[in-house]
Amino acid sequence: MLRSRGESHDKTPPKAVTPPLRVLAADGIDLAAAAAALPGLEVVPAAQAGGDGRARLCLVAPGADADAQAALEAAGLGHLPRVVWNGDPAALVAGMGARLEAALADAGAARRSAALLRREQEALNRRFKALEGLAWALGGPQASLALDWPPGPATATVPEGSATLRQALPVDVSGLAAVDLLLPELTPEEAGEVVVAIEDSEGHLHPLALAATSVERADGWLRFAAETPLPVDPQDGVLLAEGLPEGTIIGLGHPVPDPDFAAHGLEGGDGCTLALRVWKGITGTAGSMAPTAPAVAGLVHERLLPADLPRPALIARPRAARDHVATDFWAKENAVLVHPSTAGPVCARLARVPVAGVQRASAVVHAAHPRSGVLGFAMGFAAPGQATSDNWQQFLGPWTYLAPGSWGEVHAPPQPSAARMGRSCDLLLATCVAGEATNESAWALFRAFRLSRSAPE
Amino acid sequence: MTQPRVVAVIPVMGHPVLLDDAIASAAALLDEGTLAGIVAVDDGCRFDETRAALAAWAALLGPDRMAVLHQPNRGLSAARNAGIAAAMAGAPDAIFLLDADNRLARGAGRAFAALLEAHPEADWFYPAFDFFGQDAHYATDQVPSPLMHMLVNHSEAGSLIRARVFAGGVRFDETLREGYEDWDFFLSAQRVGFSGRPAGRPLLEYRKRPSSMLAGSHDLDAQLRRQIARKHRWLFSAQSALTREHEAFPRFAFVGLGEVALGTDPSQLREIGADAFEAMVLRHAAAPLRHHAPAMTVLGATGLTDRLREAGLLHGLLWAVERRLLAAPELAAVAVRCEGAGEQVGLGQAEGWDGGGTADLLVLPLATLIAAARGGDGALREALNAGDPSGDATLRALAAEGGAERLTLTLPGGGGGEDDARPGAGALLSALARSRFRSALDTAWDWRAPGGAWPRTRAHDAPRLTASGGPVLPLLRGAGGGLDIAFTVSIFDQGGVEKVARAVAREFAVEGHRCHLVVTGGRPARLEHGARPPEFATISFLSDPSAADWAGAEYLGTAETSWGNPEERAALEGLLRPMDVVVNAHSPATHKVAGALRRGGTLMVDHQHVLEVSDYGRAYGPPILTLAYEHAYDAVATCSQGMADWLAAHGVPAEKLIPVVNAPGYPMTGAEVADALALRRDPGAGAPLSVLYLGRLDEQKGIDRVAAIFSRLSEAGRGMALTLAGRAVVNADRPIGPLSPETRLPGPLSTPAALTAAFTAADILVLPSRYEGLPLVVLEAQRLGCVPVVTDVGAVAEAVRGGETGILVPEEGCVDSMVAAILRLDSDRGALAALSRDAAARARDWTVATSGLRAWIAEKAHNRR
Repeated sequence: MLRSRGESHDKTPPKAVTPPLRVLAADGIDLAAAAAALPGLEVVPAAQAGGDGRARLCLVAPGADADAQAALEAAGLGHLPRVVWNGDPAALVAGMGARLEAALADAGAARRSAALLRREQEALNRRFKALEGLAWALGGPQASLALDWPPGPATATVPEGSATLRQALPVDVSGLAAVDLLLPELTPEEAGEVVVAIEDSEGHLHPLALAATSVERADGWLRFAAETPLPVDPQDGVLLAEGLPEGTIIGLGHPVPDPDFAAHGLEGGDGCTLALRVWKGITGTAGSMAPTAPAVAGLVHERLLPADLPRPALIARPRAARDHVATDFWAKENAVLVHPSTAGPVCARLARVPVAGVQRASAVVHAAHPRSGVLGFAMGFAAPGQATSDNWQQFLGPWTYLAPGSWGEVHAPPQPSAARMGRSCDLLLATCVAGEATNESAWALFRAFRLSRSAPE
Repeated sequence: MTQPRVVAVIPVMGHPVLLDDAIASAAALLDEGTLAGIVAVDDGCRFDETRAALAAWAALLGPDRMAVLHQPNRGLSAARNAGIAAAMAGAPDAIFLLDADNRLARGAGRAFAALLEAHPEADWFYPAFDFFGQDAHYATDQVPSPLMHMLVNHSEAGSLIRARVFAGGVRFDETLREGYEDWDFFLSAQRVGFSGRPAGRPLLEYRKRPSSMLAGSHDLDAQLRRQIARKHRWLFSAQSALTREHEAFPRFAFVGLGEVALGTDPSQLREIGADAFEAMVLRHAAAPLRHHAPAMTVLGATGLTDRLREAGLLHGLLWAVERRLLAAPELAAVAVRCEGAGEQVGLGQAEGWDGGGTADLLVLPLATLIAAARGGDGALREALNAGDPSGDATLRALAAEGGAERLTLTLPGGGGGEDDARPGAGALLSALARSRFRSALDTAWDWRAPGGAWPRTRAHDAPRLTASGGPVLPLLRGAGGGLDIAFTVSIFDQGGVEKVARAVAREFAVEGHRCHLVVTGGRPARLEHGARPPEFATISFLSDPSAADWAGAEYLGTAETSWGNPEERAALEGLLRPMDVVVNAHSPATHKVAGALRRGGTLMVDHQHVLEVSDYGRAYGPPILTLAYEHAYDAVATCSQGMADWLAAHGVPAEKLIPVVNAPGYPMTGAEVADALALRRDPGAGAPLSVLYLGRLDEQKGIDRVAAIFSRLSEAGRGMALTLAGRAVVNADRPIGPLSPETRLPGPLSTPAALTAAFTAADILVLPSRYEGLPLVVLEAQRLGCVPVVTDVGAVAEAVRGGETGILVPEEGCVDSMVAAILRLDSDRGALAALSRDAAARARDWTVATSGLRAWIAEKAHNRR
């Protein structure tokens, strides 16, 4: 026991259960003398130690170090430090002091590791909590429209020179997934040259990539999406855009009385924001908000309108749904309605669409009511009868989220082999309500379809 | 960019494991080279584990990177100070104070360098509140202001602070052990000229648990705030707060044609355009934590606000309106209607208003402007959309929705025209409803929750902190450097107390001070020609009728008023708070706030005039209340030496007593006096004597005795001219008694010209009072050689030396004595002439009378400034 015989001023004495430090004495060491010289330590013969894990060092007689080493190694204790013992305890002090300091440093390192692990665990806990919500929603991913500045009557143009467009965002950029900008007159080539990024308050730039499908949609809105929702701490951010050709017309939102939040770097503007939408996802989840349908050569496309297709029928609705869920063909709109529930995604099926060998499928979708919430759309296709109320999710492609009144596209996962589909296929049309909106006026419409198959050889 | 040397100081008490998180976060910055060192201070933590943890970390990081100090428990402030001292020994560029249960944000080290480089003028950088545990993100002040800092602490202790702040001697107050020590630290730093700015990027992760020292300190919030206010009087003073409010958070917007004038003090406004005002209102509505807009918008009939300003009424009127809005925050509008009533000026009580009829002045709270900007609901929306050129529909809709009140301002000439403020209000609100910025209200411009920041309009609460929460008169210190001195009176109706107040105020005004009249009795003031007395810069009214009802508790047989609930006291305290000195001339309401005012630094002087006597001979009245409140006053001025002696005998310390012995009640230049004396007829010429009574026609003055004396003089058949001038103010319903038919009754004489003419024409002034202070009429008569024949009551003997400057008779049998004296003087015109000459020669003046009081105030005010 490390209890001195004299008066102790140790305010943090060792705990009562702490055993004394065990020291081995190799052959040639006077055991009794060593024990007397080292009160408080436990001195035992090395020869009897065996592989004693409690031994901390070994005293060796002068000139007998090599023998002692061999003996220790034979006993599996070759790792023990050896101290040449001449009867003076001072020989031990420096070494033990160094080992004490090292032990303290090791303890510090352990505490550091624990702290790091705690911090990571907290962040993981937060993400898991969010992902729990994702799981509860039966796999319907959660995304939300964090900011919606609809276009106003004014526009602005990009000035001469390499201007950087800046727009401060009054949202927390943590989890930012995509930004939609209104650039109605850009050609696809010009759109591809635009560089958009989010600069956070720490000065880091987070690039956003152009979603090709938004160009194809040709409604003027271009989506620039992050690879994953920004994994940063909650903080302010600024949207930056460069590479816009001189004279580009850019849609503006409403005038703002605070000049900090007006768009800068434009000609005109008149104290307005940009027209834009900011989307946020769950930090840490994979999945870009820029679903793409990679172009494949050699496909024949068949364009179909809902009136040409079988009537829809529900195959899946959330068990907990208490609100209105429905699917229908709206003849006046020539559209298929799949009315979602706030409790989770809803899926309708157009059974046995008479197109053979379908390998790809896309649909034009429309969140038709101006006062709905943000609506999510997805689609898939399967061999007739293959998709059921239990397995329909696995056939769906990525979800697309639309603000009220806006249009978009959804794409089903491609089917590599034409033979699998046979002479017809079932189309699966799924919708959900994003975020915490109600499903009131959730007119989720599928307006047109494109089914693609291999060209005949 | 050269890496600055930043040291983290971590005080530790009670968090042996959470401490690891704090140190680990700092160690990460050490490793990336953005932090130079850590100083951890064990504040006598009771856990051995703390010391083990610190030893382990120190061993790991090494003495070059981490120092550990141990001390007996002395509190968080002492631990921080110890850490700061140790850190400063290493000549850092800045210190970051990190509590042991918090963490540095991951990018904090890079942020330190960027902030220190980009803002060399800033002395510290404070983070927003990013909490973990109870996850939340609170906003903090984006534009720091000492005024807002009175209300809420925007600077967490977890701030990056330049070494020069500590080199300047700023430290944590080790006596503050229950919380808010960081608030005190940053106020102390500002006091000596340092300033901070928001970091604008994450620096600190703040662990928020349901129970923490901060949570505990909120329970002590009121007590700790008082402590902060007492310690930082440089900031928590009415004039400091008003000045800062006026400069950065103007309380009022005065809307005219195309221009809007902003300010707190309505006599020091600055103009902006109507468009800029519209943007200001919408900016605030969209982001209230970032932007300010005036709390009250004032619209007036053409020229009215200028008239009110010139009349000295505008400051007090705005205070009264603000008082109503504070008491009823849901009110959508307060209107002021001006009515003429002769020479009277006053402010009535508020009454409900339906929005119809003319409004000479309209005050709209900011909430009304914002409601209009948002488009309103129902009838208001219809009115705003329709345009409403008369403003009638708009004001009615507002009144129906949130309620409205109207105050009546009695003003000579009334409103002065047919203008109505309502069309202007309707136009303003319609313009806001059509603002091109309206759609900005649909966006939430602050994603952080309020918590470390308050809406900028709360700036108006800051001056109220100096007045127990009451509205503070919007009066800034004058440019001349003189004192602001308020004279509080219960009534202002040409009585002796009022005349003395004016005379004293005149002397202070000559010295360059600004004097203000405050009428607390709930009744209008009667002003000479209805005009502002030139010695008073402003006139304000406390319109609470209970302030003069004498229906409250009694002290030694004298009743107080029933006035004085907490809201009423806070209101009067706020009205008087901007003053350097308050002279209370018989205002009972002022007694009830005197202590609070004195504690807040105002010099309080009670000015006593007369001890009343009841029908049964019992003494009562204002001097008795002085005995009750003597402790709340710095000094007691008296109208006579006799009054001072009486008060001393009843317990007022002699050192507090300053006699301000009365002098004539209206001013005359030496030349004017000489001219008037030259007009006086020679008593030796043999014309019948002219005998004058001038004063209130009531029992105190012995008006019944006057009637008897005049009758006896008439019966004496010497053809004396008898004049009885005055009117009943007190006891108006008691009959005077039969008067001899030749008695002239010219009615009340109040103007200096009329008084001078009366005294000059009279040989003798008779005043058979039952009790008096030191009556002004006697001094006025003496100045012009009119010989007083008076009862020896009160302090009259201090004015009249019997047989030299007048005739003094005992009150007992005074009618006989006075008649005999007058008949004697009629027979001995030489004696009359001698008395007349001596009376005029020994006339008093206020400059001499007030010299003691003025010198005392000058000395006290100099010491306090």
